[in-house]
Amino acid sequence: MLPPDLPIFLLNALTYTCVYFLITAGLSLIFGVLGILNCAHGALYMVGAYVAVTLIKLFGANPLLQFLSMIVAGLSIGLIGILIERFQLRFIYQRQDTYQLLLTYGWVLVFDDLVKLLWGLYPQAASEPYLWAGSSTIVGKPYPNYNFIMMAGSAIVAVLLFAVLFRTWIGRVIRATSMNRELASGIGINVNRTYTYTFALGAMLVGFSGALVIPSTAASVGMGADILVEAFAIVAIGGLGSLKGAFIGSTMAGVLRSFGIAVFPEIETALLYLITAGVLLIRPWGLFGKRLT
Amino acid sequence: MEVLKAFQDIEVVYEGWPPLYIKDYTPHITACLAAKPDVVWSTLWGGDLMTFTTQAAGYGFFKATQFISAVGGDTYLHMKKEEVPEGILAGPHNYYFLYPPWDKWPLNKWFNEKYWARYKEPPHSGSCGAYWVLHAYKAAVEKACAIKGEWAEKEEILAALKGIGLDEPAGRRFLRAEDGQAVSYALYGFTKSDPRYTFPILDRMEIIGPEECGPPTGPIDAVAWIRDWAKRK
Repeated sequence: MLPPDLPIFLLNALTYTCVYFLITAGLSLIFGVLGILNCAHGALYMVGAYVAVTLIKLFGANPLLQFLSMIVAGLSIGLIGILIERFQLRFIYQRQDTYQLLLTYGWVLVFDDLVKLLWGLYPQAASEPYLWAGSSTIVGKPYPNYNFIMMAGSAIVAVLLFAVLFRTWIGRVIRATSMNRELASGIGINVNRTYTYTFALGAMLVGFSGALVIPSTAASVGMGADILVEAFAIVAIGGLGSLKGAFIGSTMAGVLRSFGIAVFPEIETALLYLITAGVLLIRPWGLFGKRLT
Repeated sequence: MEVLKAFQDIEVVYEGWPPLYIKDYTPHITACLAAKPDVVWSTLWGGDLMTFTTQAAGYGFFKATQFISAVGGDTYLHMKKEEVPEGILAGPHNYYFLYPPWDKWPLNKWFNEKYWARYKEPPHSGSCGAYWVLHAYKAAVEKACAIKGEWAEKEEILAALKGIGLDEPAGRRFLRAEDGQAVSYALYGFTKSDPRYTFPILDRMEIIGPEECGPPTGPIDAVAWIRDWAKRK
């Protein structure tokens, strides 16, 4: 029994899918190439959001500069990613997996406190772009235009990502390194630098998505943890290391989030995780992941 | 929900229970609008209410239904008037800076002048509450020490607190002697844009006196107590 305003629910589902994809693409990419499950991914999302709030507020009434601020926020998280990878993660690749868990989780705690120190405890809102975008009418009902901006922004970034990965030299290097690190090193690829680029790319993606959602929600200290659990569920469904899997998982999560409350209100919060559990039981490497030998 | 059923002419078409501090209300907004409610009652507060108001406005929520915010009177003081649609029925916890009118209650005028000068924003329920608590404690200590003739013990100060009544910026508030329950009035109004302020103010304010909305003494069955209001109307 579908809701009567179906187009609005579908548009919402599409918006969530786009944002989830940006987040999980970065996570999947980092795992696929570096073999690191980045527990700090949610924290980077949060920092991207906060940086965006500050920059948007700086450019009071100028929408163009505000949108540029979001891009700058994403790039700045990429920079943080470079620093984390180069000066911390690099030293633990050879060690047990528990070290990467501890290190990335340590960053979660550090970023949580840094955010509290720099921006305070209360949620920070920067809804100027959301208000500027206004609403249009879909099936006779108002619909916020900012959702279209989120979809467009995510689509552009996704296209750029695929262009980089499949049409440029650096993209080939990244894919080669993800397939076989030793062989890649053997043909002269600087694997260390490739790892840094990849981590930075993943960080940029998630930082930009944090910045993109800011006008419609508010930046708060818990937002990283919320998104991380969902991101893990999505990549578990789609398969770690697979961008196609990240997209399929994001679509599922987007549809569930949009329709869940209307169609299955009692179990709405659990739905995504029930599906994750199901996939893990039947196909533990995810829908498009690599089967582990 | 049993409370609402006490009012026979109400039909509940939607109940939404978003988790605390969730940052995205759009699934609830769209599902609620799809149920076509005439009136929506919400106890969202603080940052949650701010986020909800911004997101819901994009979906034309406040034009489609009458929104009642139980504690929005305090939250909306911290938002810009462009962000808050007019006509939302909201109430603060127990103090609104424009009531009692400043020309009728000099204490409110004094409090506002001092507060605005120091913090550059309007005082809210917490501010008035803080004022009352500190002055009540001071009054209780003075009373207990006057009775005893020297510094009083904690229990004696507690005893002096019971039944204490004080003027405050909101009017007058007192603690009931029987159970220490604080009693004051309730206020609500409709949000409105005003050229004098950057935030929305409450217009067409109405006051409900403590005798009507203060809880009865002794153990209360909340549902039965509220059903009593329905009978009174």
